[in-house]
Amino acid sequence: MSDAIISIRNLHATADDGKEILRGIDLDIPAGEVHAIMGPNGSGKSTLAQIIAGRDEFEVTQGEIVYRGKDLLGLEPEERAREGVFLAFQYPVEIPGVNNIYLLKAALNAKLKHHGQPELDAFEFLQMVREKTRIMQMDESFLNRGVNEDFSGGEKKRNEVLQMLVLEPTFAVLDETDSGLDIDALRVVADGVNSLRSDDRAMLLVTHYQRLLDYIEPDVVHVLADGRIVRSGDKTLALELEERGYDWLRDGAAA
Amino acid sequence: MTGNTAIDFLDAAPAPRDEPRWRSQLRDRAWEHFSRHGLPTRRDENWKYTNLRAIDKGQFTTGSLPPGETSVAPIGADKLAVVSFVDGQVTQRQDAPGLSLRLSAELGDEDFGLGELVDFDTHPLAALNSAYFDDAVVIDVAAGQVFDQPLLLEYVSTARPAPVLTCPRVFIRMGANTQLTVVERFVGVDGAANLTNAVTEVELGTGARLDHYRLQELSDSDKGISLLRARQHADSRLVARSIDIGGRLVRNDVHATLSEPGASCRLSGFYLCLGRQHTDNHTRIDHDAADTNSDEVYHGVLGGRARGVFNGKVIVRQDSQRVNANQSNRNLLLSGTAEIDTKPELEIYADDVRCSHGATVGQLDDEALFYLRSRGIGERTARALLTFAFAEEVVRDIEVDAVRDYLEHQVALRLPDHERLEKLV
Repeated sequence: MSDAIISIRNLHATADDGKEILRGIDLDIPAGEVHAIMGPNGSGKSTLAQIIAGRDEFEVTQGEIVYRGKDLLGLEPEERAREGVFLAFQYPVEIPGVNNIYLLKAALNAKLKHHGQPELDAFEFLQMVREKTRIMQMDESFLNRGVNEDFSGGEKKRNEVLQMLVLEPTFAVLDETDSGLDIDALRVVADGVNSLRSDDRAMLLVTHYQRLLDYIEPDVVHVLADGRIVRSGDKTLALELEERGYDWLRDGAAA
Repeated sequence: MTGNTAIDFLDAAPAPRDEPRWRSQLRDRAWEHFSRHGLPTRRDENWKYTNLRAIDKGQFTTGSLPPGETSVAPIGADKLAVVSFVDGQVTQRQDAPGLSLRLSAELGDEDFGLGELVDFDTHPLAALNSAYFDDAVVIDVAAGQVFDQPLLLEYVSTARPAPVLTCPRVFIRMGANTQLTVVERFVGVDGAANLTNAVTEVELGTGARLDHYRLQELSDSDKGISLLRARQHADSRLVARSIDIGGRLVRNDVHATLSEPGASCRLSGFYLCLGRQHTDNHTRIDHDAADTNSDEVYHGVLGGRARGVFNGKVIVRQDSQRVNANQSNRNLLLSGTAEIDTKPELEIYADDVRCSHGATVGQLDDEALFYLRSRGIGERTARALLTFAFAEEVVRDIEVDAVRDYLEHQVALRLPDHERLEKLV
């Protein structure tokens, strides 16, 4: 697929203890599409998300990830980010002592610089960030707090999506961004994500629950089990999973 | 005159002079103690990790000398009052309307009780200070007086042909329901190699609140020793912040006695030790009454071949029930050759007590590092940022804006890769 934003080929990865977690993932996400990956606990969903972002605690033993024609695995995490890859963390880290707004500014400037573009002046930047903060229905006081410091679970997830809105990634991975959200927060987060959908971007939603997909409609749903994609389909597959669970697919994979 | 004493690192024993009786009595008592005991050695448990040999082998001039050349960046805060010393000599004094601020020479024969709180056995260097100090600053806050702006006491150490001993001395007596902020700033000119041995004594009356800042920016050849000694009456509150970003050999003691119910204190500190710097913080909080609270947070960043020491002693006396005491000391090691010795020391004799303590020594958090990098921030910048953030967790609590801004800037400037933090502060 030539217009794929990201192509994952036969990806195998092991954890620190040598256990193989990903056992041959193949996945293409074309520009303009949103894909969802579902699967039971321990199936490797989060590992895949972390590997895409560049976490080095997993070792890729086989396969490749091509992102817009580039070998993604050959890039440092910060280079991936500047090239437009974004991971919304399942468990965002608290960093007391670094202001949220400082991180947003440093991250955006790193990206602009990488692309040879001028930095925003302080006024433009603040205007832009305030607007995104309103979209996420976050109080502006969050901007001057430490990154995720003493945020509730839901506030952390909103903050991840806020960062995503500011950085406008080409390829975003959202790792269980829906978990721990009440229905109102889920709607806000989904609206934020949907506002970024466009023909030149792609997204990968990692989730346990079909619920998120009511708000962010995926083009394709994949089921991951035991480190492999065992089934792909349209959004009705998610509904089927909700009804039937995962076991029927796992049995099928084993057969 | 050194022949008269066993103290070889001083050029002369303290000379008797024309002075009030209380002063000569304190001097005699102090010198008697110090000339008998000398500098503490590593055999003393309280000095196990801090070797004063560099002082003992030195040669310090003790007399009054004209102040050396200085150019020190000012802290841009609005100040209540200022007293500046250069190499022990008063060079600037600005009084505040309504605040009783005197130098000890102006006290005449009035015995203020200066020195009563200081125990030479607990802190032998207080005896050295008591024997030699000249212009003690005596502040007397009358009941009900509340001052918002900080009082600045500045001590500058300059580069001289021969090193000098200076003994800054402060006595603060706060009446009932008073409030005062005092900033004591110790700063060294490049090349200064003096010994600054300071003692600050504080009596907090009922309901009084003192915010005390000790900012230490001595030169990397300077030696600095300090004692903050506080006695707190009912419902008083002491907030003591200690920031060490300079000095070659540094030892600070804070001794607070919570002597009546309702008294509380918060001690916070940050120390940055790089190169071959050595910084030792010893704190001692004595819960000598029921219903008293203390909490303590010290953060240290150590790199190069630097060495840090933290010892946090908490005493809860037998009848001191319903006491809360929390202590935390966290250390970030930037190199494999930096060292920290950290020790909580709890002596608890009461039973209805909640005490917690925690000490950590570690490197930067991998998760946080990855998080920042995943946002496009380069690894070295991310490391510098996280190191700064670790300091900032303590520094940001400084309530005097100009002091906080100044320190954030000074801390950042001294960190490895600080140019990457350019736009941060």
